[in-house]
Amino acid sequence: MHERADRLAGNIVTADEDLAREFEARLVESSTLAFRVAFSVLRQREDAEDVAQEAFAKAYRSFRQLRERDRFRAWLVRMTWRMALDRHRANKRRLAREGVEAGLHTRLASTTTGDAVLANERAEQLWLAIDTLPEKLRFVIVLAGIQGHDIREVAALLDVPDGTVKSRLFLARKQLRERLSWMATE
Amino acid sequence: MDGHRMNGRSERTGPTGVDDAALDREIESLLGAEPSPEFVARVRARVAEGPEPGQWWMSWVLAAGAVAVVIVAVMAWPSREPVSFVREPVQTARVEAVEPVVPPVVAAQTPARSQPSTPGRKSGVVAAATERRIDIDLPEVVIADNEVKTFAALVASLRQSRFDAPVPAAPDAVTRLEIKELPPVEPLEIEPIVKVAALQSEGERP
Repeated sequence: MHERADRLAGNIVTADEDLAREFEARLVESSTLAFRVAFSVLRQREDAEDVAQEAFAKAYRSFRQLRERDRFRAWLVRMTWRMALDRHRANKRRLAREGVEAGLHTRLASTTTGDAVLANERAEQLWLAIDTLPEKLRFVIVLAGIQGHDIREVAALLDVPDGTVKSRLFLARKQLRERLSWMATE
Repeated sequence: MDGHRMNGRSERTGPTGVDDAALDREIESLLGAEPSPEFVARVRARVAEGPEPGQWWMSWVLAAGAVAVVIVAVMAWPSREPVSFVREPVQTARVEAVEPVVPPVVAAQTPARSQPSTPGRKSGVVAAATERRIDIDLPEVVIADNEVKTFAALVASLRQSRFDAPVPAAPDAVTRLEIKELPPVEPLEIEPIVKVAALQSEGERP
C-alpha cells in the first residue's frame, strides 16, 4: 500500500519535473522571440520585457495544452502581440491624459555624427512606415524580420497558409516602399 | 532561424531605390534588439509566483458549480413566491381589544367601522395588529351592514354563552319528508313576431 503511494507520488513528481524541464527549454529558445515581438509594438525595452514576462506566465499556466514546440511558439507569439498592442494603447491613453505627446517611437541614442543622425532618421521613418501598415500586414513583416523567419515559419506562427503569408508580405513591402518614398520626397 | 531568408522575396526596387533585400535588412536591424541578461531569470521568478500548470480547470469547475447553484436557486424561487407571508393582525387579538362590537373578519375589511372605539382601545388594536400580521392575498369581500350587525350579534352571544337562536332539528331518517304539491303552471303562449316594417308601405314610414 505504502509502496504504491510512494510510486504514485514519485510519478507525479516526475511528471511535474518533466513539465518544468520542458517549459525551461521553451523559455530559453523563445524568450528572445517574445521580447522582439513585444518590442516591435512598444519600442521600449522595459515595457517589452514586462509584456513578454506576462505572456510567459500565462503560457506556463496553460502549458499542459502547449507542450508541443510549434504550438507553444505560435501561441506565445500571438499572445505577446495582443498583449503588446493592449499595452501600447494603454500607454497612449495614459500619455494623452497626462497631456504628453504620444511619441512612443524608439529614441535612439543621441549622437552628433552626421551618419548616425541620418541612420536615426531613417530608423524613425521606417518605424513610422511600419506603424501605418494594417495590423495583418504589420504582423507578417515584423515576424519575417525577426530572426530571419521564412514564409513557412511565419505561416506556422500565425496558423495561416503559406500563400496568405506570401501575399501579405508582398503587400506589406509594397506599401512600405511607397510610404518611405513619400517620406523621402517630403 | 535557419539562416535562409524569405524565399518569397523578389528583387523588386521601389521609387526610392530600396529593394526588398535592403528593406528586410533594415527591418531586421530595427528588430534586432536583445532582451536584458536578467530577462530569463525574471521570467522564471514571475512564473514561480503564479499557480502550477494544469490547475486552470479547477477554476472552471468552481465556476460551473457556482452557475449550477445559481440555476437551482432561480428554479426553486418561483415555487415559494406565491405564498407570501406578510404579517397582518390576527383576528383573535383584535376581537379581544374591540369586542364585541365588530367581528374580526369584518373589522379587517371595514376599517372605518372599527374606529368608533376609544383612542385607548384603538392603540391597543394597533399594538395587537402589529404583533402578528398575515397577508393572504384574497379578494375584498363586501358585506351589507345588516349582515355585519347580525354576525356581530351572533359572535357576541356566542362569547356570552347565550346562543338561543332556533336551530332546525336534523331530519329524522324514519320520518318521511312531506312534499307539498306545487301550484299548476299555465302554459306559456308566445305570439308570433310580425315584421311590421315589411308590411308598411314606404310612404307610411315615420
